[in-house]
Amino acid sequence: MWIYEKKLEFPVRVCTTNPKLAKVIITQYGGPDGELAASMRYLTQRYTMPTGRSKAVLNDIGTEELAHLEIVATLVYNLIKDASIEQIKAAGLDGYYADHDKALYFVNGDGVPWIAAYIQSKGDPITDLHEDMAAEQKARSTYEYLLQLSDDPGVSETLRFLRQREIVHYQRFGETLEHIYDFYSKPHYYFMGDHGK
Amino acid sequence: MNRRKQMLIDIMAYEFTAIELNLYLDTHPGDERALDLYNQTVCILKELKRDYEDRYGPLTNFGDTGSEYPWRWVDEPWPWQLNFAD
Amino acid sequence: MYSRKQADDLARVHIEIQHFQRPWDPLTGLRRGTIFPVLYRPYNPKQHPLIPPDNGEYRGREAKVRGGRDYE
Repeated sequence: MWIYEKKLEFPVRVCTTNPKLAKVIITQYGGPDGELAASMRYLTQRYTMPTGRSKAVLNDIGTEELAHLEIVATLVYNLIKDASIEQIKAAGLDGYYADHDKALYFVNGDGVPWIAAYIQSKGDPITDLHEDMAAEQKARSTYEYLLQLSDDPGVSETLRFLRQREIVHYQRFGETLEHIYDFYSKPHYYFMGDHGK
Repeated sequence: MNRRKQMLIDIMAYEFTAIELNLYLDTHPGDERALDLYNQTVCILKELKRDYEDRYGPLTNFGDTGSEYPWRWVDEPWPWQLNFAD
Repeated sequence: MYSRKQADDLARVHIEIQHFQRPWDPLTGLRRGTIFPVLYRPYNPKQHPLIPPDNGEYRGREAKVRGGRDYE
């Protein structure tokens, strides 16, 4: 189960009001390679991972992605909250505003809503881990593109943190894949309750 | 707000170390040095959190720490309201 | 469910397992997004996407002049 800790993982600072920047950053909230996709993907794959270690990795990285989801939301929230209607219109966010005011919603940078087809949970752990490694690379690339678009130093600092996390996660999923290959290359004798840690 | 933010940054820093070691240990469960460091970090973190909670109220609900009267969990600011730029 | 033969395929992801090294202090780790120096990959939006940075820092043509790796 989940316990919530009333603090962010990273000290987020937003230096400007910038709905234009918020409009692109929101893709890491509700877009195809964003933190909702990442967290839901890993947390839903974890059930069918074959070893304690692989369950732990999927569980723990999935949980950290929820913390990242919160950070992205904090960026968008702070970039938009003091924006005037003129700024919102100039940012091309009038359509979004009509449906959501300044609230958060799961869409990408063009307002396309989140969809479960962004993720897969294939059951075969080799397949799932390849998907997970690809997901981390996609997230890393997206943060790089957002860093190219950002002119707010506080926001950029946070984007750099999130990008570096994806690199670490990629390494952990890679190590888990290696462990799974190892697991399947050895014969296992199953007794009651023994699932080959 | 400055002291509060400074205390939070310290907690974030040590907790981040714990998270990193957690993920590392998940794929290297036999690494004794990493585990020692994790356990040391847990001790420091517990103290930092207790000091913070004594001043600013509980960091978690669901039965982890107690609260003064009235129920402090509902207090603001919530995490997304704290801008570390100020 | 999963056969041994599949695990011996020709195309196969190769992973280097990370070895433990002394991590950075907590505040440095938090700022950089990892406590492990070996996993640190800083990003410069202006750098060329396909030229690998030296030790994570892009030095461009300077590296070649100072006797750095020859890319040609």
